[in-house]
Amino acid sequence: MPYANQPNIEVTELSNDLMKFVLWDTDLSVANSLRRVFMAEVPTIAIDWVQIETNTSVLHDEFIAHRMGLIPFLSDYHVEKMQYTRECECAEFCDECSIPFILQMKCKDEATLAVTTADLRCMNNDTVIVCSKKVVTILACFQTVRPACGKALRERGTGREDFHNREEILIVKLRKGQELNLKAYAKKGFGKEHAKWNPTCGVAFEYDPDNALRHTIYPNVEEWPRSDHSALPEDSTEKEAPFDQDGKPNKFFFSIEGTGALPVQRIVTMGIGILKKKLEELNMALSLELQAHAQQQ
Amino acid sequence: MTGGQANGRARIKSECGKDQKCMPLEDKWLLVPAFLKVRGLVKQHLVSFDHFVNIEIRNIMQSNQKITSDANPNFYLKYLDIRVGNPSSEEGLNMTHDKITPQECRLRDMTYSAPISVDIEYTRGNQRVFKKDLIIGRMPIMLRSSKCILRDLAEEELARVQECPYDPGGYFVVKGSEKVILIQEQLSKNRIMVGRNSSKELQCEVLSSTSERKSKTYVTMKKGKYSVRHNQLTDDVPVSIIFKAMGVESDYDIVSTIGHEEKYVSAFAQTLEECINAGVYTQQQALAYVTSKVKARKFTPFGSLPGTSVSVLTPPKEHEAVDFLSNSMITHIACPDGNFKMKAIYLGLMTRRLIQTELGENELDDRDFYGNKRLELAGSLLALLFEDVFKRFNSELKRIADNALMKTMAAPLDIVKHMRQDMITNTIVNAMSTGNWIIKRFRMERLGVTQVLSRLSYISALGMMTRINSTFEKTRKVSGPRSLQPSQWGMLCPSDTPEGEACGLVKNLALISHITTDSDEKPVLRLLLNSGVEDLHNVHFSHVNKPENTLIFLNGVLIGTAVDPERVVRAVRDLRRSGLLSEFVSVSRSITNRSVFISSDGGRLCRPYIIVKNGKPMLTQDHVQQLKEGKRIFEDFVDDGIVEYLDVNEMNDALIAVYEKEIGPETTHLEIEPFTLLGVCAGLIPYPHHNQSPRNTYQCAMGKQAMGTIAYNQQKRIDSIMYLLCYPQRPLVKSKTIELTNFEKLPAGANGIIAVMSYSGYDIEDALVLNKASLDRGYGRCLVYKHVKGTVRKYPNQTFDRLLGPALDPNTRLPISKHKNLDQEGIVFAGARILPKQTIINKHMPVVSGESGPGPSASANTIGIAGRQVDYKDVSISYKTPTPSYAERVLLTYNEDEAHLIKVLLRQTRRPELGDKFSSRHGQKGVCGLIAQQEDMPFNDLGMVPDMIMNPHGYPSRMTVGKLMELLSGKAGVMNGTYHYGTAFGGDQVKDVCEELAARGYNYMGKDMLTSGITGQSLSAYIYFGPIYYQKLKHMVLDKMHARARGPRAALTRQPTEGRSREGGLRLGEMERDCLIAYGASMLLIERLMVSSDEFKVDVCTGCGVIGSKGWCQKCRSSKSMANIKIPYACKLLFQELQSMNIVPRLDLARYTE
Repeated sequence: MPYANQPNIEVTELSNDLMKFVLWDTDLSVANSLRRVFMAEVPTIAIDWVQIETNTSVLHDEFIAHRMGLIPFLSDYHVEKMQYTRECECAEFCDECSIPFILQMKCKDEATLAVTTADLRCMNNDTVIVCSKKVVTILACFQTVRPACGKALRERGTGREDFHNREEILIVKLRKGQELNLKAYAKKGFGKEHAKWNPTCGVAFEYDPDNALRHTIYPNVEEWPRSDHSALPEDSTEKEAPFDQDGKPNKFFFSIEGTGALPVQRIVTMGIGILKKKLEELNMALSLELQAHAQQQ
Repeated sequence: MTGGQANGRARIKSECGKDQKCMPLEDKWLLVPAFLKVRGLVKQHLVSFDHFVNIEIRNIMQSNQKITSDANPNFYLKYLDIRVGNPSSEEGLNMTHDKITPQECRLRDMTYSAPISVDIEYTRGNQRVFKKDLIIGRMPIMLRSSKCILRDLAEEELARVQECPYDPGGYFVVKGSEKVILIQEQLSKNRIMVGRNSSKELQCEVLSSTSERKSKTYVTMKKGKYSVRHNQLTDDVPVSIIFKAMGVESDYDIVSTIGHEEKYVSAFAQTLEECINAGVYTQQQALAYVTSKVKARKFTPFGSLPGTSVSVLTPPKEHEAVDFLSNSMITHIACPDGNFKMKAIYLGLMTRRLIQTELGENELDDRDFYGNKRLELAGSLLALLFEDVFKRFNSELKRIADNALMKTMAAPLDIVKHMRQDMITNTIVNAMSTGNWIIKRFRMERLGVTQVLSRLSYISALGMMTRINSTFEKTRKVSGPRSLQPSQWGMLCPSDTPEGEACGLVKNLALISHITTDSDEKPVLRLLLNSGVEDLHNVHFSHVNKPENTLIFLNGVLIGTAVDPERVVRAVRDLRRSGLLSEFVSVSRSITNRSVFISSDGGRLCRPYIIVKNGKPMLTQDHVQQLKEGKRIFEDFVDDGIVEYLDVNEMNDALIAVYEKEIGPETTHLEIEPFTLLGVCAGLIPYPHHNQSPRNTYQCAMGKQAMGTIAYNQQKRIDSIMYLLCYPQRPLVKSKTIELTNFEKLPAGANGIIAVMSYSGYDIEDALVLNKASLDRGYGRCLVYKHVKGTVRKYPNQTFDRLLGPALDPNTRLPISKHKNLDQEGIVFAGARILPKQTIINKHMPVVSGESGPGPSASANTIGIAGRQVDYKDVSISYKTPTPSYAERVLLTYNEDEAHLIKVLLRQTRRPELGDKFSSRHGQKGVCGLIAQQEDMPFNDLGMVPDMIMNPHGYPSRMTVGKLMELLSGKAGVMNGTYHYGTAFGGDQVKDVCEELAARGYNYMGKDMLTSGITGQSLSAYIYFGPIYYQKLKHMVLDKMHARARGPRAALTRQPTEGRSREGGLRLGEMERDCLIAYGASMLLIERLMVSSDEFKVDVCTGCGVIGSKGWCQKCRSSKSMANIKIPYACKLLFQELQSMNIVPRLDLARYTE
């Protein structure tokens, strides 16, 4: 058994936005299911319900609702405490499954007013636990659910300098006299339902950087740029490793970039957790099933 | 080649050797935007309309200046001046609204028009009266023409009147809809054409046209005899007799007009004998002969007004022949004071041309040659219509004057009181809104002249303005007029033509072609006479045919002869270049016909070229620099003789180099930029010169269906249907044309990342696989706007429509579900979500009821008005579409008839779904076959996932190499953060682009190594992967899906209705029926054709076989032997119809078991 031993992991690069790690001694299917879970099943928070009171902007209601939905939210603390609306006991909205926001903007000046995520106000004050004033601010920046952009991201701090200057996300521009007044609920969800809940930007995944397994057939090897993970010596003229007939994918190079909704390490841990939970639930279901069988006989 | 250039050639040869090549001029293409500022695209519509409104209308007035009365010779009405004012609207009782804007007209369903006012002088009794600014009618105004308020407005000012700065104008707003008068293509007038008629006989024809009349004259050859054919002649008349009738009595003179050479004489001899056979020797005899052949006139000619024939004596019979000769035959050759000399020479020329062709010395004229075509624009079409209606207006005035002046009246006749506006207004408005151009005096009736401006996308609107409609019938199976003529080079777009029946008949202008308007021919005539053209009035007929003389034609009229044609050509050309003649005067030579043709008429297609002299282009790098700095405009280049316009005929005499390197010693002109030979629609295609040509044609058709942005005022418009894209993008690979037509400002499409690979099997037959995450994020998301319209009228009988608020449910006191979205005024409120069958406008119309008095019918719907009871009928407008919409805006206004007008704009937002149609810019359309999850999509080493997967089988047979190149250029552009060019016959080269890609660490060929999202394994093939601009087309599943179980039936046949809009059934057609018959599925047949359709039970008498009713046979007068059977209702209907025609169909019945 080639994989009887434990799979190994080595993190090669880590920041809030980007994580690179190498996974080895496991099967391709396991690595790929991890990749798929990161993208499709790690839950985040995003606006899913918008009630528009007034909208005299140039964009129509559905357009604004769609734009609101695509705003990423810092969901580190809350997402795991929250319930999916479909699993929640409440009739419509409750603190367990939704976070209300309001946006009330009216342009009174001659200049156009840019309505951004900074103008989005969270209605739920319970999330801030009052201890002392200092603590409040610190907690506030970590614990309130805020759009993952601009100031919020800067306060959280990211590994990469150039991302510090990220601006607030523009929702719509208002002209003098135009008004936007809406109420929105952010809910928990995952990428399979809608791409707005996808916490990742790109999940790169590579095995066999030197094409020793010949899964890909290069018509002209010289034309191909060399992979970053190549094990071939720097100065070698060879572009491809020799063909390994019995080889199997074993070492997987992951690189995960996040949208900011979750720090990347959280995506990975939550992703693995979700896979684990799935298997546990399967195990539960199986044992129940076996019990039922036993009773029948 | 003309001699001027031939002389030049000799000089050049001595000056510069062959090896000396011209350096390419950099940024020469900047002339194209400079040109487009003043001419081209829609400017020809504007120029033409301006010409009509400012000049032509005055000419029309002048030629119909005076109205006199037969009853009183003292009476007259004389027009002194005519002009078209500024756009305004009439708002009821003599109120005018001067600040009318086109957008207001669109929204209020009005006509954007201006008053036509005249200054007149007339007699009232014995007084002479002057009247100024008398309005005689209203003229629709072309947007952005000189009369339009939008002319020369800055962007900000345009925004204030809610107009888009990129809207081209050139169309009209008639009754709220935007109408374009399409460019009409016609055979050119007043030119001799030798061709074959339907029975393959040679004939020489001339279509003469003057402002008064149009006629067609033929000279035909039958059995060696030449005769004249004309639709006013009952029979062909020998040419020789016509000559004699025109006063050319001697046979020698007749032969002289044709030619003294032996071959002409012998060919014509037989025709001369015809005279003797007919016993015609003198002019008198000839006139009598012609008179006998002239068709009897049924009505008076249009020139003299009706009513004259009563008082004027009938002229002697011979006058009819003279009238025919002078006014009907070859009318464009004038015969002042009955002098038929020029006409005789012209007729001689026609005969000569025919004989030459017969003898094989000359070839048949090519009717499809584009130099023989003229394009009619809005201005000239409106001029035709206006002159016709103006003449009718005048004859109406004359009739009134005649009637009034016959009687003696207390007050003297004031003709002004009888000048009504509505005749002229209504005729023009009706013609424009229906497109039926009826010109009574030419008995011309053209249908489909105007079309509604297509606002599907900005390009479709622009493309419509450059469209040329051919008058050729679509049904005839002749390939000539449909095929691409070499003479269309640079004038018409070779790609942009529809497929199917109108293929090749509907054409589009190229980017920088221009259509001329009529210009004054007097200066040209004077120039010609000064540069050695000999007048023919004083010379013998034979002079024309002397080999040393060249004929000089001006607009098809023979002016004279010249010994040195070179000099004439040079004179015209030089004066044109120096700006002393109109820049659109063209001169061309025909060596075979010894002729020089000079044209200054309107409707010729022409195109600017850089003049090349002595092997050097006149344009220098300095000029281009000055153009860049804004120190020169295009006009300056024309004025300085650097650039000139060549029409199709003159282009034939020029040697044009496409590139500087091709300039040789004989070159006369240099092309400005080769990409300009394509039109607006084909200009959008990147690298079109690498595509198979039909693909470009397909794209030209599809670009017009692409959704995107329409105009900057799209939010303010209420169109009957409007498709917009949520997130339209500029194409990554653009072309010069895209920049010039502002496509980047008003794009229609989005750049998507495409992987060219097979995926899942749901992508066969051009189907596309879309990424669900991309759709979630807004790719291809579109808006569909529709509008609902209703008017609330007042009726003459004091009743009026009323709007009622929502009806309440009697139990809950809440509005009933149908009326849930109504406000108290009975109209849907803005922002409401409207579900199917809900009421949008709750309108009730008064029913014409009987006399007053509270009858038993008095119900809730009855109210009393002025002592009468009025019943109201519910005529509310409800929402019929199966998917809900939102009401975006409600407009309450009133229209020209002063009825209240309610317009509700409905909106739907749609994300792409299975079956929606997409297309790239290379004629590669496909529907969405699968929407795949992001995690299932293949990804590259960056984790990047395509938006769309396209099957590679789309490439080999289509050969759209341009699409491959677009992907490469786009990918390199994305990596560099730049836009790449895919301009036709230029653009960024593949080699450079590939190197850019390689420098960025990508594969040289644009391929990527992808990994399957499903298995995680690398794909064995490398995948062509990158951005391509995709258009979402207007065909969406939501508008097409349809199914029915039970539903409405047609009243007559009781069969299910047809079509989606009527919730119709799905037809089991005759071919499907054949299959079922062949298979033997008879019960299924019965079910589909009768039970599920129009099953009907009838009582049939087994005795007589006639259909009875209720168990009773009316024929046998018994109920003894009735049988009840099921037949299709249509069958029963047929029997009854036959019975009504005295045919008795009898049913012969037998028991199934017997």
